[in-house]
Amino acid sequence: MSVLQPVSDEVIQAGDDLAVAVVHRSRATLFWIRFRRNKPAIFGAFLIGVMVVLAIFAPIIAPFDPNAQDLNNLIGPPTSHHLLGTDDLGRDVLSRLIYGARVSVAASIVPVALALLAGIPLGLIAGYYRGFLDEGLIMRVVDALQAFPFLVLALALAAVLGPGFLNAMIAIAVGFVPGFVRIVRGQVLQIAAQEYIQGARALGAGDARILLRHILPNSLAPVLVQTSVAMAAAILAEAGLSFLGVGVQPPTPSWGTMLTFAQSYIVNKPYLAVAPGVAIFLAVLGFNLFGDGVRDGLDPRSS
Amino acid sequence: MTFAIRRLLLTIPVLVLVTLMVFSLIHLVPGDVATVILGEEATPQAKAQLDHQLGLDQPLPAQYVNWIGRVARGDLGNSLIDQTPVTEAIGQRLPVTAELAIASFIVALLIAIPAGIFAATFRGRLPDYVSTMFAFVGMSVPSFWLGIMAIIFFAVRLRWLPSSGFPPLRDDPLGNLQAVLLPAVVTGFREAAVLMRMLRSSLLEVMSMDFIRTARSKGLRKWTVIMRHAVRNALIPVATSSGLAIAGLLGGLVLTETVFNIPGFGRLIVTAIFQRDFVTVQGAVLVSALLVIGVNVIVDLTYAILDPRIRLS
Repeated sequence: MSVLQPVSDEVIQAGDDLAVAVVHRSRATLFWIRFRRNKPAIFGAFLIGVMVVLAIFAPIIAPFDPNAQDLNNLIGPPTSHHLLGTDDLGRDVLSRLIYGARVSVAASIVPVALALLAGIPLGLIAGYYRGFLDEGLIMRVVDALQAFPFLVLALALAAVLGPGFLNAMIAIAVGFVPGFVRIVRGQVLQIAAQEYIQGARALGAGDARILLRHILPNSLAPVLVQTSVAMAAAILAEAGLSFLGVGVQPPTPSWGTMLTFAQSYIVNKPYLAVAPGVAIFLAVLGFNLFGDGVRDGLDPRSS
Repeated sequence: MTFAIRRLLLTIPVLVLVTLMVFSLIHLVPGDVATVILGEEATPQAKAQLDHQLGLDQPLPAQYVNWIGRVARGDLGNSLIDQTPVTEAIGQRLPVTAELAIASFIVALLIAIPAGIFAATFRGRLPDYVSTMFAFVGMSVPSFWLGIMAIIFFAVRLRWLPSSGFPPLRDDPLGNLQAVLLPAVVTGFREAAVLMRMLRSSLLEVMSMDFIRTARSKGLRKWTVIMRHAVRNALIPVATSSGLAIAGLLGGLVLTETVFNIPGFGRLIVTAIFQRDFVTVQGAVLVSALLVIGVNVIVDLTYAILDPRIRLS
């Protein structure tokens, strides 16, 4: 920080010889200043934090083993002992809900990471080399992938690969790749045309150096926004696939499969459907609010 | 006209790639397809027969050419479960899903347009905050859970509406309408949130333009300007995203149809997956992609008619 501070209560007139301090702030500092003013985004970060804490410390927080069966207490109502009741195998619903956070945290990270690993290089290549590789191949595959309804594609892929958590993650990831390719490509097209890239080339920098040291770091802001949006969508998609039975398999507790179970008891035990749905909702809301804060923080004009 | 031809030509590579992807689906099945479908204890003869029926005993390029040839003639193969043509099953289910999709889209527009207009007009004030909060809820709430909750409240508790069953529109219009209402609201809610956000930002952009200031300064009332000048222009980008909306609705309906037990297209895919009926899965996935491509082409062509700048660029 500079020692000189602008004087606020004096009227500055033209011709006044006044040294005005220009405070230089890094992009990260500017981002943080804007982000922390966004209360919904802070709330979103808090929701994500709660979910991560539940996932990591599930064995300490959960009152019971999520898979421990109490055959004398099947589909028991909420009591002081079992706060959310028990399920059809006498397992504690609250404990399963807490352990279920693990699946959702993993679901928010794995497919998005896979999609980034595929989407960023493809977007860089398409935007930088242009030509047939871009227009003729990569972007046409992207167009084709985007023709499939996201959930239909994920469902079909999860089905042919076989039910299971990892296959569901891959299936969801495939649906995210086109979005990342498009965003990265668009950024590269914009940045590659700028003078400093020509300057780097004139200084003898190779393609790899230009792409990785100059273009990639400068194109990451919108990728970051898309990442948080995708994380929200991934939790929803995983819950949907698990609800349909092609995601996480029993006995692993997950919010989606808990809803499948709850659906069979909507007439007599409707309360069973409340908690898992609220958990999914809050987790997705957390990422959506957080993502909106990231967007505003990176580009205040976007709101 | 040249725009229309160019737009149609552009879909050819996409169609080729989409068919290649759908064709490859069955080859992604880990291990031997016939064993996966028939089970470990199936006889070698039965497996060989299934391989033959699926054309899997031929070289890959020949398989693709044969398959695409049949698809072009409207033959998506026969269901592995009951041997009925897949096109027939899809033909029966698609109208149900189309009705739901249209109803959901109408619900989405009925919510999104007023909410978007209010949010943009009262930017930074209460209506904006309420609409934005509603949009975040809509984008975050799992539609299938919303469906379950809606069934619990409106069908089980209040007994206002049926929880499942789907009388055909022609036989029982009123019963059909009742059956469509809850699923359409549940599916349309999420799309409403997306459309509302889009309309809000598009409207804010239009309202900062010169012609809006001109309209205001020539004495038109604020609401006349908003409704007659701003909204009409702001709706164009929203309309262009209808293709995306239809894709979103088709995906969302897979879940909604399962929750409400509606015999639609989505339910067909889910059932086929559990029966390992890969031929039906393949056909249904292809049809869903073709629908999205078709809607996108129609939207782009309509857009070009409405906005000459697109045609001439």
